[in-house]
Amino acid sequence: MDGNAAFAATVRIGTPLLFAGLGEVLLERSGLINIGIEGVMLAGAFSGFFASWYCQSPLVGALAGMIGGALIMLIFAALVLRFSADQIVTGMAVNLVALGLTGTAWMRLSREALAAPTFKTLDSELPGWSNVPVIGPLIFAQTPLTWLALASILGVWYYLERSERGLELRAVGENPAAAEASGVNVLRCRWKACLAAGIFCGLGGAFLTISQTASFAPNCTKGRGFVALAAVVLGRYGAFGTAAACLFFGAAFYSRDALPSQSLAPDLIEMLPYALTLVALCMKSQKRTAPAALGKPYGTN
Amino acid sequence: MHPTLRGALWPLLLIGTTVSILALAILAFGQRQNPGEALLTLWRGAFGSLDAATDTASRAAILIFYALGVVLSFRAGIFNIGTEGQSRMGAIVAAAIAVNGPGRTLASVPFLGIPLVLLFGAIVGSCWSLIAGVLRRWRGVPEVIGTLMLNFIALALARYLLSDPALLRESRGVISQSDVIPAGLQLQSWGATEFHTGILLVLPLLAWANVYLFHTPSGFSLRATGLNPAAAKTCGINVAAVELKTFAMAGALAGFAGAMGVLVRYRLDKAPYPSDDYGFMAIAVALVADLKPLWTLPAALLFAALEVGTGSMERNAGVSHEVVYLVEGLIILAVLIRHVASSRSRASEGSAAAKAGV
Repeated sequence: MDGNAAFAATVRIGTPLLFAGLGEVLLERSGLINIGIEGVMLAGAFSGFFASWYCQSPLVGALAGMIGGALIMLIFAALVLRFSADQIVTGMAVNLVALGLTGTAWMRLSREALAAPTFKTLDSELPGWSNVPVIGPLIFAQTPLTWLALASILGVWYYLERSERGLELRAVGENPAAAEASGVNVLRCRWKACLAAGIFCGLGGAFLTISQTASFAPNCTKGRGFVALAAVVLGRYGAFGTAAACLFFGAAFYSRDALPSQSLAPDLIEMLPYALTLVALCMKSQKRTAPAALGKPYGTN
Repeated sequence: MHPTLRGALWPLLLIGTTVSILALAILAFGQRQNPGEALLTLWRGAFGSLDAATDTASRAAILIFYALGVVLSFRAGIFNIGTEGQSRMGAIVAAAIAVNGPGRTLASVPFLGIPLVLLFGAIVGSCWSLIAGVLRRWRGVPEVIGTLMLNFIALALARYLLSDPALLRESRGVISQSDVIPAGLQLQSWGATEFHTGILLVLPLLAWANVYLFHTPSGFSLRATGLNPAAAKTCGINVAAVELKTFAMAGALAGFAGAMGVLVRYRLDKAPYPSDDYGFMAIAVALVADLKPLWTLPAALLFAALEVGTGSMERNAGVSHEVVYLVEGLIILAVLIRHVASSRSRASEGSAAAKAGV
């Protein structure tokens, strides 16, 4: 097993986590926690697959994945922002709705979808360059969606840490009352964060069904949304930290699937990311890193 | 509307909502679109025979154990979503004790063998839950993240233990399951039904939870902590102790139910009994029950019936079993909106100013 291929696989496996993790970073920095991004990803995976299949175009699919994710996220936003509903419980309901809706619809549509010819997946056109060290596996061996994910790391970091809007968003997450007093519309800011997170997570889900392989299965996100949630905490709510955690989880999942089975049990490796997240959380008190207003409802008016 | 009337209307509204969501889903996604017939299949699948009805009861029993843990946690302001992992740890320990040396000893002890195995399950489940409690208390780790991680670890641990005959995998090594536990430790079902003695435990448990939560000082401290931890602390309640105790109780209930699953199935299966999504379903049950212990009984029956019934609906009417998640999710959303609506109507009854602010 050469290092380049392993690195390329790590980045590939990490891509959906990157999208979801970055979306959740935006959301959590605005003071919202959505444990339903697993469902948002699933909605993106489903709508991305079916739009690609219907239009025979993965580009339409990617767009549909974003829209599907955003629509499911709007349920969360409406309940949490409009009705000040509890965020954890709402997130859980969003998961269940997405799982039920996509699973039920899939049973109805699968026969036609499986009978029809599949669409051309989003592949890269640059396979010859993939042996260049570092850049090769990181970029040339990947598909366009991965490029987008990698660019998004920089984009989200710049937005959060360097732009004025990002400063407002962070203020909303730390102290919404003070932000409101200084003229920021807290609810509008959070609505926008929800929309952005929905688009990111939907795209992350769509990556699973329209890039490289064209297939959907009920619950095909397999808990990746929860992993992304852990990555955000492990990455200390920052764009780079979360991205690093996502790629680390990608490496762990890659080694689970690729290591010869006699060396270390795959189930033990699967445990590793979660156990490490817990250990890392124990190392330093979390109270100073999480946004101060995280998970707290803001105003009912 | 009069409050008692509103209280009586809610269950009707709930069942009405459930039936209409199902009917809509059948219309939209079914392959033979006759909602009435499909719903009848669902009913027959859940209650149509003694076998089906006792299967529903057996699943509802597990759900009640889980849901009471959720009720206690949520009442104390703790979002313990680690039921699945805590239950799995209980199951692992029950299987580890039962199929090895101690199991043969315990199996020969009359009357006490089964309770002891269940007790070990409860202890380990509560320890697993306490990890998240300690992390929350002293490291500020949100319990949602802590319990979620512990879920994944417990599920992976069970898979690992079932991967090697030197550990818990059956000695034939063919299927990913443990050996059969000794006959003396099996919770055998009554006759040809799925009914077992463990189900009977649910009734005293419900009574205990209700008395504990509403009629003991400890339950009062728990509720006070959940409503306002700062005020509870000022009144002299040891908030840290209450929180840790609640983590331990919820974990014990889940671990007990997990161990019971092993004794009912006679082995540790690859997938948790009855299914790996009951931990999350329990949250739906607890919310529908309005975090009132006694109401978890009808709520758990409703969800268990849906779970069993949609299986036969899938076979006969071509509507995916996954429709049950859709129903659960929408019901939770309905409960959330109802909470907001009722708190707003209380506010508007209270003062005109609040109404103007809405």
